Amino acid sequence: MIEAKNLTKRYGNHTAVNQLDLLIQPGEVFALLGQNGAGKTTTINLFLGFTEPSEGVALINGLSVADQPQEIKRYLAYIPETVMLYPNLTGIENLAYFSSLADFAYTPEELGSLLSATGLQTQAFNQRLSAYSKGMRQKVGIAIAVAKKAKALLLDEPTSGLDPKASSEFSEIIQTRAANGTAILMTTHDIFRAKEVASRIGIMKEGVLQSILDADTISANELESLYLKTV
Amino acid sequence: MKRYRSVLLLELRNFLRSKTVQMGTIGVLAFAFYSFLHANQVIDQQEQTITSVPSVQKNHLQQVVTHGTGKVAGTTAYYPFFYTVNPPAPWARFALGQRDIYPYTLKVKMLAIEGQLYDSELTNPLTLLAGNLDAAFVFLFLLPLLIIALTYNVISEEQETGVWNILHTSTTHVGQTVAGKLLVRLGVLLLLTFAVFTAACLSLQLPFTGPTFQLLLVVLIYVLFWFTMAALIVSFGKRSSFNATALICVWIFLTILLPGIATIVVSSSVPVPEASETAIRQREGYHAKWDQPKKATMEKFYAVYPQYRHYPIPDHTFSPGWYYAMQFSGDLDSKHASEQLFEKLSQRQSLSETMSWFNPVIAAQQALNKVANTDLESHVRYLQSVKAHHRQIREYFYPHIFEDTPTEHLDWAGYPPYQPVGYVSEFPAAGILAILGWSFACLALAFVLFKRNFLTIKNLSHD
Amino acid sequence: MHLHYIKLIARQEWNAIFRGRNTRILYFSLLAVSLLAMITGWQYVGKFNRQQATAHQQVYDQWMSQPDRHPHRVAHYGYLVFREKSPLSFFDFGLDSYVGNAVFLEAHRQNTINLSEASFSNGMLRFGELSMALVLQLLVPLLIIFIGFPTIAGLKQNGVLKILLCQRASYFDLLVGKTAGLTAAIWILFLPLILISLFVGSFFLSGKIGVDNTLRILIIVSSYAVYFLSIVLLVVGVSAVSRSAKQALMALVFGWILFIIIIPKSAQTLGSRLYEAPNKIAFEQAIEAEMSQQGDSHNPNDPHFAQLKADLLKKYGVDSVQALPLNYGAFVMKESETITSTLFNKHFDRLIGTYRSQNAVSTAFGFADPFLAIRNLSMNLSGTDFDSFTAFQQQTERYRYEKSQRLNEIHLTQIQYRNDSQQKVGADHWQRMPDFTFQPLSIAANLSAAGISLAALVCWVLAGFGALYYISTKRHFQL
Repeated sequence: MIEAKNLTKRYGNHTAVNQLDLLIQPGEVFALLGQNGAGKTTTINLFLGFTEPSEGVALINGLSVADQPQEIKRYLAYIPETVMLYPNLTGIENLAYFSSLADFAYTPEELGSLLSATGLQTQAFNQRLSAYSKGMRQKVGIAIAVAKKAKALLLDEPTSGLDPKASSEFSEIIQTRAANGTAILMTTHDIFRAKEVASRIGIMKEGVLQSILDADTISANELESLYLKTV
Repeated sequence: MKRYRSVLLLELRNFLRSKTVQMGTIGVLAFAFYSFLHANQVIDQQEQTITSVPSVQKNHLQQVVTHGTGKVAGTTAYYPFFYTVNPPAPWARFALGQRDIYPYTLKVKMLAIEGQLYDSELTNPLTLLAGNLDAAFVFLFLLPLLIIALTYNVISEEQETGVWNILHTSTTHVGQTVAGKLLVRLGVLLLLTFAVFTAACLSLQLPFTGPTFQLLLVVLIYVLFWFTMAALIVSFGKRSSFNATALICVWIFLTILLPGIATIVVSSSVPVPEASETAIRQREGYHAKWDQPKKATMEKFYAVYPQYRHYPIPDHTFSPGWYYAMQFSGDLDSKHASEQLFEKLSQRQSLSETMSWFNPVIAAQQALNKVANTDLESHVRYLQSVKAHHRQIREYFYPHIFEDTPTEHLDWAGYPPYQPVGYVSEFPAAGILAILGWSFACLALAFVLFKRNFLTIKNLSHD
Repeated sequence: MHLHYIKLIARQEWNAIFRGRNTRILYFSLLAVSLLAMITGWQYVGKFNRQQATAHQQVYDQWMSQPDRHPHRVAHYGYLVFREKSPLSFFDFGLDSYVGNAVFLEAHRQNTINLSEASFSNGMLRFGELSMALVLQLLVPLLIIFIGFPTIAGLKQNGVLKILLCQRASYFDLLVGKTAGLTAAIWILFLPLILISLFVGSFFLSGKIGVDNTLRILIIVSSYAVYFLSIVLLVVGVSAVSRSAKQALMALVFGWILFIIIIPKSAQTLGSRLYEAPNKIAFEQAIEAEMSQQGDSHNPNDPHFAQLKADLLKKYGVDSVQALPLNYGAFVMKESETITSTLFNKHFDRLIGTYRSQNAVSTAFGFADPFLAIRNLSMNLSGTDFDSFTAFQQQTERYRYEKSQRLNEIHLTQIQYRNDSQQKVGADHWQRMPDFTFQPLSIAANLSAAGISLAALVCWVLAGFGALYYISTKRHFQL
């Protein structure tokens, strides 16, 4: 579903992502761990088509991102570290706007239930986004992704800056999406959250995917010591 | 289609809720109303003065006749002034143009005309420098600023806050989305233009006839130009502050620097020493005649007015016929300089028309003033009509002057009435074409740049 | 206040400005524009003055080569005076294009000063003329805005401000330091340019640099220095109260538009609404109405002149005007000239008074808009202001009056009443008359007229520092 073959990105002499090979199946959550500057965000951007690969190919639903930048958007959704939406529109309006852009026509009730499913309080639906907290905006971001019925979900540091409760709610939603058959790639610094949400965990260093671990077979402590050793 | 409409609707709602839009619109509207008030006042005063002219004229002639009773017409004829007026066209309220500078009433005596044509109106020069405040000013200067304020950040701000990334991955029709954002702004701007224009029509009482629609057309195309210019700058895909700075620079360049340079170029490349020369020649031409043999002067006069040849002109004493023949010769002597002056004025006009091809702002201003009949050409037409009236008057009084009719036996108010020029309608095609040309050029370039900078993959991650 | 920190911050700001690529681009384009403005302005004024001097010479020669004439003919032959532009007018055109350039002076008639540049121009003039003053008044502030808008707001946005404020320098030190650095940079970039252009330009125009001009140039340069400082204070202040650099830029650009377009126009239109000036017809009618009360020489039944006649006959002990030892016709004209001239001056002074009141509104708005203050100040010192033009009007009118009265005096004494119009007087009589030379206003007169504007600029600077101090005491402006 989300696939990288020999994916490489160079900026001048610096190699941000080096010969990445990766396949994330539907229903799987893959967490990418790594220090700042390890190449995690560049990887996400390569899948989003925000940047062109120097070598290799990024595939979404079997389509090359670089060759079919418009087509692949049908299948993917993206939630950045800080979800910024239109501050002058309400939560419902933002959701309506983005899902209309993705060619989905929802009734107001359906939009409401999409928002409710993310755990957003009903009374916030008709407030302007300028009044939302970061966590609330994150929820609208998830609702937008869900509304799109995306087969691939790309998350860039989704839990950073969220309080523990919001973070845990978030993990739940991610797992629900995975259970519905979505392939999910998320980057994170949070080892424990990665262990809890992901099925597989990759550790990245200087653009190279150093190791891939099975989240079920490794304990949090082992993961941590491995991470510290790698980076 | 239906989904696209709902996107546009939400886009519109989003746009209209922004504070800049609300404050900018209110600011422009408030200033527009003040400008209507001011323009109305200026033109009302001019009209009031113009309506007072007939009674001023009547009293003045009565006084002249009373004082002249017992003298011959030729003696009395030295005194009366004959007033002419240049009433404003209804559209002058929209674009005051040069009406505050050019005199709109001129009074002439039967003496040589050239010395009397260039009398100026009494005005406070600082008021002239500060310039007029009229609807044309609001449309030419302020509306572009509003257009800039509402469009400079159309995509860049979304990129800076990060919405753009989500938007970009949400839709397969990025082009359409961008077009939608721009169209919403264009729609609102055109609607606002239309609203301000309608308000102008109502408060300035513009008649709903051709020229009003010409003004509307110029204004709408002008708005279109600025919008395409803003789109062009936005299409470079730079940051908001770059866009704002660049657009303000374009605004200054087009509305201040370029016209400022053009003005200097026009006034120094087509200087009008003929203005002084006309005055000098006319004065000299007339006064030299006093010391010359009368016959030469009279012959010049008879060449145009042979019917007065049979009246005797005494050789050694003053006679009114000779006096007015001298005045007439003064004009003949300065005729060449005067014609050159008018020629120079039309050169200036055509030079600035050439320049307006290079600057849509000048083009729009010239077009509005042309429609409003408040430009140099209209004033020249007025001056020509004053000249024509002066001739009519002379020719009405000449027989009485030569006949030595007693003042009280002459109908002093019986001269042919002054015919104001009236409205001259001319479609400002060149100006409109110039603005349209620039708009299309901007649009085409913007289109190419949009495709390059927003629709193809590029390194969006700035970090 | 810690001078040490202020110096440090100022130096850092200075370096940042001169390292910026945008600064260089903007500065060099402004430099090019101001040099262009200087050269075109200088050429234009030179050409214009030569043209006026030629016309003046022609008129003077014609006057001197008049044959023997009747003095009243000479009075109507009159004289043409051509206004020349002041030696500093190439720097600031001021009102020059809107005021008349030539006036015809003749007996018992006050003609308007005609042939202004504006009366022969189409609307393009109304966009303004490119002069050095325009560049300095309008565009340099914009440059300051473009360079200075992120100076504090940018630090807030990237969090550097908090780190800076944790060091020993206070917020006020920071604000003053930034102001000092920015001001120093702007002064270095522009003041020498103004100084050199003014000296070189006025030297080439008038062939000399007098004490008066030197003094004017020095005051002009210092005024612009104060003006730039007040703009820098505004920019730093707005940047300090803005949350983001973009917000600061928007506010500053909006303020700039307010200052250079909206307030000047509104102030002047407000002035002309508050103090309504008569138009030409009303002005003339008022004079005429008063004249018929005071004494109208053309009216044979006028009581004033009847009385005058009776007194004169009594004084000389004769019973008819023919028997008088002087020319009665000239006597009447002389009296009439005095009456009309006094009346005209009274009404004209009132008119000028009204204009002055109108302009005072703009001057007062200098306290709300530094652009208005520098505009007035710069015009005043360049000799292209309202007072300079009024002085020209008044001096030509006085010259006209004196000339007419001299001619009346000749008429009175040298022409017999009998067969008056048949006689002539030798040409040497008018050849002896002095030519008109315009006496420009003294620098003291210009300065006293510009005093309020100067005070306004100084107020802006003081208020600017006050505002910076106020901002520095408020916690929420540090976030």
